[in-house]
Amino acid sequence: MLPHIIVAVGLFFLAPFIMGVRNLDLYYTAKVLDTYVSLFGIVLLVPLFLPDQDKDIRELIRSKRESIVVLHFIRMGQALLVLSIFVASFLAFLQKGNCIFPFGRYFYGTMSSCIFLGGLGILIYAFVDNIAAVYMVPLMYYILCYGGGKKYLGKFYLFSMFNGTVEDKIYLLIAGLVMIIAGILIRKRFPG
Amino acid sequence: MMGKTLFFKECKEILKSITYYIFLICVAVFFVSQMGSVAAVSKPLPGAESYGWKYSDDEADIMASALDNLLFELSRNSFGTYPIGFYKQVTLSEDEQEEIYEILVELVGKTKEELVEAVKIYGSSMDHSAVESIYIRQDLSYEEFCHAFNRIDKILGGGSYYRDDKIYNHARVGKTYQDAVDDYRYIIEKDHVSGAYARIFADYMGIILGILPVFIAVTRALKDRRAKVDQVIYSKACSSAVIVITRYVAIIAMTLLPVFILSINPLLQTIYVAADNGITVDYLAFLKVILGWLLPTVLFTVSIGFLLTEMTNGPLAILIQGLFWIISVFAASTNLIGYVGWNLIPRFNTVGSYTVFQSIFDDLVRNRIFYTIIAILILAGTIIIYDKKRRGRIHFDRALSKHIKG
Amino acid sequence: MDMKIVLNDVSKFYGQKQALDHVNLEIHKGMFGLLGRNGAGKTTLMKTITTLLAPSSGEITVCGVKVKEGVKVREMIGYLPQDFSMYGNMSAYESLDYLGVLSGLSKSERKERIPELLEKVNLRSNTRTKVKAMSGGMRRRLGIAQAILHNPRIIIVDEPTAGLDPEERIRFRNLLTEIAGERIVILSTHIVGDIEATCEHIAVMDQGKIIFNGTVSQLLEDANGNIYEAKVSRIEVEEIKKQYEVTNVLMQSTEALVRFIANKKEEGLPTAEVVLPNVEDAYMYLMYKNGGIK
Repeated sequence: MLPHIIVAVGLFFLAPFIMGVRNLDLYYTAKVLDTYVSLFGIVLLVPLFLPDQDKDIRELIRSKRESIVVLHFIRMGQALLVLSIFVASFLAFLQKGNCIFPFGRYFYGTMSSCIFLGGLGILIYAFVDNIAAVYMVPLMYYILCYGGGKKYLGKFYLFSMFNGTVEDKIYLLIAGLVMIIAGILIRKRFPG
Repeated sequence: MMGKTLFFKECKEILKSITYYIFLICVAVFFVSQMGSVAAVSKPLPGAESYGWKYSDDEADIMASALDNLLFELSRNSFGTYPIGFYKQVTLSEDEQEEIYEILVELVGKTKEELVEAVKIYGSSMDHSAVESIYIRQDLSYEEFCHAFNRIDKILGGGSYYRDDKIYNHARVGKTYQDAVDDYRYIIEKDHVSGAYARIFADYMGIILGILPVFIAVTRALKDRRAKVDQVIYSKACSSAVIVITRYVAIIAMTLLPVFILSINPLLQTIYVAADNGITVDYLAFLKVILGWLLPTVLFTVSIGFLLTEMTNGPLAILIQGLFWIISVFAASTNLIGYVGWNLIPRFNTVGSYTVFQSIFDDLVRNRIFYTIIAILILAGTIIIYDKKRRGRIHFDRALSKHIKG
Repeated sequence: MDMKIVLNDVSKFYGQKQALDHVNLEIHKGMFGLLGRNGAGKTTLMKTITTLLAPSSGEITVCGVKVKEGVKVREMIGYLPQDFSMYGNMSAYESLDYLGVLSGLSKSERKERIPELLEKVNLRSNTRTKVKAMSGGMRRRLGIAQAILHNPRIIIVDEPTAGLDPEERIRFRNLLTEIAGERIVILSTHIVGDIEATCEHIAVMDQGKIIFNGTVSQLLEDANGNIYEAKVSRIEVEEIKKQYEVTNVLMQSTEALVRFIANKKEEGLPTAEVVLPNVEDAYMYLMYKNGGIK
């Protein structure tokens, strides 16, 4: 988990160097959050199953009393907490830089995108034992959105906050949570 | 030869890898969604509302538009510069703003108070009319202007478009019908249409080629250990260089193969358009951009994937290359045409604009050579580390991987 | 070009831990057994010979070639590590083909030898079976096939029978003996039975040191006269264990047959008789002499 947190921190501090983060209006703030901060979801949530990547460790954990599912849920909770801290901090940072936007709504919107991307990765991880594929699929989804996938993805389009509305975000949020839960439960059955 | 057989075997193994298929899907979908929206090159018709823009080399135009942009940035106290090749946003202190106003006073013949007032109104109202009355003095020479603006560039920390060698960037004027026709002729005669299409193809494909290949590389580099065949492979007579290089070249080849195949589509479009206008096509245009423009990006991405995975036995390479990729993509997003700098993924998001392309061509070449050399050096480093692991001379990966896994 | 492997005062450190302690050894043609506990240094020793580990000090020469010259030495060696598998998606044939290329075999050589080898290790019917579908025993056999594919002068096998069922174990041992021929075959194990069945020359390692180097007969001779066997009641077994180094206990309904190490006939056990030591006894005796077991 640690290198992922370091990367997230890196991303955080990198932001002002590679894009404008001050004096942004509703639209540009949304753009930054949707296109940049949503990536935090991939970085921080996807490594859920990493510690037990090794088959032997998996077997060992499975033999312990506590259910591996409970363990994963706890880890997920931790990851979500860390993610919220990052996202909230970033929003606070933007506000300090004189960006004007509704904090609560944008927090909700950004978290939804993050959770969706993270959920995608986790779901894939439940089926496929390939680390690279796990990061790749959410990234692929992100790229598809970037490359104008709005018409194909509809409500599940990642960058829907541009208009200042967060109504479509609910789909992302729910889908994301469903995928996370499904991923954890399926992983239990497939030793991989 | 060992290498050749090994190469084909590696290619075959890549075909069995799930990351490769995700890669293919991504490339295909991205290509279809992007290139589908490329405007066809067609002969401009007289009487159209707009013919797009071009850089004016009229000094008056340049001075006026540079001033205009400066006033805009001043009104928000937010300036975009590229001191190290990547976009950076500059905010000025009171004193620094003072300095700029002082320079401006000499250029526009208004008092400082008038200037400050006008800019303030401009800033709060976003109404351009507030600064309409501010313009360059008639008697100011272009040299004096550039001299003054160079000073402004220094105040901004350098790397801004107010510097004399880049100041032409401000002067975007609408193209006239004649301009459009000239441009069109350029595309047809010099660029052969294929150049124009090839460049936009390279522009789009570069975006995904700067990140997706790293996944294939990481998967391959982790494969031996996970399959528990690493010790046996180490014990074979084959040299480390041959082992690493054949894997590397196999990935490069398999990565570019679908790109080649996809390029047939725009190539056919090109041939069609060219036939319409009775001119020849440079059939190799796409090959040239794939090898000259895109290849170095892929070389670098795969090299990083190999090196970092070999060093850490974990997926760190994905995160690091991810960072490079994000920087490249975001940093370029404010100027997608006419600037390549040291960007891993050089952008050129337009069909045509041959003259603009010519002006950045040298930069592009330098950029691509740079990344190719770096990629090769990184690969050499990978071979060295692989060999040291093979001889049991490095144990640090054990210590590192404990941290990375976790 | 002498067919031998020479280790000259070889030591290996992993940080503070010393895995090899001034090892001096000469290994000749035939089956050579390396015996010792887990952690004694057997794997480390084998890896240094195979060039996969660089000794901290000392020199190793393989058929006249210093181990530093990686490629030349690796050409002569076929290695099967303890933990061996192959890419899951490859079939037995493809695996051998791939590893064969890495060993520098030409296409015709591979085409000729692979079917022969698959036959020899009894995997003929599994030519197309994917590695991920193979059992542990099958993989081990595949492993030995790849080790001899390029006809190396030296074969090094680390714990070849660990994890195999008794039948497979015997088959594997026979296989090794079969392929030994004019080669040097080094096999390491902590199962005494493996050595007994196959090797004339053995070395015993403990804590990085060689504590015995010679033939099996010599090992037995050393222990001769020091192994006793006594028939006692089952309750007494624990008592005996406390007093002596017991090498074996055979439970028989109400009684037990206990073999143990002793210098002379002890009073407390009038029924004890000297017996001829088997290799297991001899090994235990050696360990005992060297400063206690466990």
